[in-house]
Amino acid sequence: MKITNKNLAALMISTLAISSAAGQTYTLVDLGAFAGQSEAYGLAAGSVPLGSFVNPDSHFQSVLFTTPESVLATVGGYKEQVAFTSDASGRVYGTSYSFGDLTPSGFIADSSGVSLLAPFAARASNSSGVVAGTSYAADSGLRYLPRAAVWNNGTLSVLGTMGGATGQALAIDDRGWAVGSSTTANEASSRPVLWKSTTPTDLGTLGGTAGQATAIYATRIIGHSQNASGVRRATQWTIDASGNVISRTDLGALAPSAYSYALGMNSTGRIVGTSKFHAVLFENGSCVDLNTRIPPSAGWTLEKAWAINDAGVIVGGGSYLGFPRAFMLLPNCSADFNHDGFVNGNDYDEFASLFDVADIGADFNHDGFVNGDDYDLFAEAFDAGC
Amino acid sequence: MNIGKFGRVIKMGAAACALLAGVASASIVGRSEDPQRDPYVVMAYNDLGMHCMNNDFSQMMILPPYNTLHAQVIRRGVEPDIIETGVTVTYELPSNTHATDKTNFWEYAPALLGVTLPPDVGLGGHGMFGTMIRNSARNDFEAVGIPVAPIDDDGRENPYPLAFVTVKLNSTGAIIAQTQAVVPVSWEMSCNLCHTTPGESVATSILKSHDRLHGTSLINQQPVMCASCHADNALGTSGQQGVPNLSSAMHLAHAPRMGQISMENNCYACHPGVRTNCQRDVHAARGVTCTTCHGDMAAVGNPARNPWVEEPSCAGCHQREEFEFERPGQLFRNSTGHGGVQCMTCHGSPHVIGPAVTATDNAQAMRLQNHTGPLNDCLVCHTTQPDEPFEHKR
Repeated sequence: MKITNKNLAALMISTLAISSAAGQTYTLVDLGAFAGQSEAYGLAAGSVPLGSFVNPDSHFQSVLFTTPESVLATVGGYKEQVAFTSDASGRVYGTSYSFGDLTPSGFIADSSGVSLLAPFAARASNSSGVVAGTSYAADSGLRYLPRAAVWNNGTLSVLGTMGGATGQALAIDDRGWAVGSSTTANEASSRPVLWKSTTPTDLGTLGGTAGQATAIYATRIIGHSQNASGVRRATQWTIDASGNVISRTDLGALAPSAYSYALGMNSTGRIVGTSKFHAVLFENGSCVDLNTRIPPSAGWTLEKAWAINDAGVIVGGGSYLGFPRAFMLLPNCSADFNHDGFVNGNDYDEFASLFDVADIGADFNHDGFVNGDDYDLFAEAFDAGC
Repeated sequence: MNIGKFGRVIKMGAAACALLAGVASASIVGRSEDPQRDPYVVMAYNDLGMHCMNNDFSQMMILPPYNTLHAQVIRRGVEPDIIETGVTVTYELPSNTHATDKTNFWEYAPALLGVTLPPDVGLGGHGMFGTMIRNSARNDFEAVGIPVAPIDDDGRENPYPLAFVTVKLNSTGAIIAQTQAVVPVSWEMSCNLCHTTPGESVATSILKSHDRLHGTSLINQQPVMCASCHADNALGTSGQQGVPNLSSAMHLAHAPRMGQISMENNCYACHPGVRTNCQRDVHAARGVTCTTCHGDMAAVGNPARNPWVEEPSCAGCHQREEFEFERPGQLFRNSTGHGGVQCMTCHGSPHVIGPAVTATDNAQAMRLQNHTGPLNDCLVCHTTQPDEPFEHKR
């Protein structure tokens, strides 16, 4: 495989063989041809990664990793700016701040340019542009403690805590439900929480004291929580229509007792994150090292997968020659089942051999079951070619 | 209750204890808006003003994540007392609550240091939140080696996260004082300014250069801890006989090569940094540079110097009758004055002597006395304005 710099057209036709067992493979796109470090946190429409890079003045600047890249102007006199998310209208949201300052500001970038939203660190938006984040405004005791906050149409609302002094909101869905973490009374612990209104609900942990929710979609909330041994493990909370927790699931890790974090999720329930500081995909009840789903790439380690969209495109941050670097993973042609670069009878034979014995490798739609749906989807992809 | 040595010690009688119990039972969970009305005050501070750490540990390590936070608890009064017992002091980093997803240190600690650390726990045994330990020699509480990385939970780089320190009375569990202090950490060490070989990592370039110049084979021994051969007081390693200490080796090896660098402050080529600006105190604001206090690279790298122990002295510049700027033979960061109060309690950490140029570093002073700079409002600790002249060195 060739790692190219933002040459998406070339990448889309590059194919490569992978010797690993069946499973979605990816083409690695190096997003960080900039002189300094970079990180991709989210995906805008059209699978456009967004994030930040270190500009020639050594400061973080927000960017859409298009071809050529679209660098967003830093506004408000802040020195650093990071783009995190976008809404259905293509508006981009993020945070402007300066090292050592107490009050960051959310920003919005749209066709009219970049402007400041409100004094909070904007982290995530829903499809209609309601933004979740963290306010650092001084309280009555002149303390600059983080508090979960939601910005909606010009109004910033600070959300409640679990009885402690602090909180952070890291994601929000189209119902306006936000998730994140908040401390309990006497600052005893920092719990994973759901805000359906300004009052938080404790989502519970895997048996430990601390946790944090990082994404929410429909009946699924993901994040990480400590188990009884105190190890943070990627966690999925299943909730009912009222937001009550039905179950908590340990999503696994790259080793039985290792730590893991679930960071991003798409609408089909595919989850990405990190474990043992390798970017991972949580699928079919296991934790898969995404470094094994790309060809061996000299100098690259995928460390943290921040987001995945419904097209299966994944973005995050890794290390390239020892430097922090943004990456994007493009799913390879799914009908090329044996990953030899061609779609032909060999792919059909390999899929069929697994399907006939109900091997999970034939779980083509990644729903955890091997059944006719997988066969139909594979046949459709096979007929379509790549 | 063990009373500290702040000012004239008041023997606590039954009445005083009853009064204290009454205060405690009233509980200050809903804190007053004016800390100067509270019966207790806590001041927290980092020991160095900046902790550098590697961004990637897969090939080499200069410094691990290791940040030390101190706090002094004072019971306010006409004659205040430093409190060392009867309270529990906890810390948290509300915007930076976990670390294992921010650095690969835990993956390489066994190879580098011979230890397998629990996730999110640092070399000092402390995690990202927890209880500070009493250090009676310092009259304070401390959390040694907090493994904080310069990334907030939302993914932003932030070298100046604010720790939130809470003091609870053991007898009731009531919160009696809280404060915020910066726990500074940065990995902005710009080795790549020079160590750039196409197709190689910065660490590979460094290790190869070392092998070429010094006949070593570090490239085959990865991950390499520099302090395993070069003595380093920061890590407490004795190094190998005949090998210069790490500070000396680094500064002397690079001094003749700094001509390639053209920066406003060349120290920021290796120390953090252009973006981090770790020297951010009143001295920086007044044009005092790194070399003004530390000397040039040759001076810092002098093999006869004992790094981390022989450091610039405040008294090297500041002289004032009846003021003692460090205890004899002590560094600023380990010195006390005014009845056992740590110098840093009032003045801030090294490199962050107040007023700092950064608002986060000034937040504590602003909250306690409504202005930046050293804590010089007597009423931060005293309930009445003392009649006696201020005694700095007492």
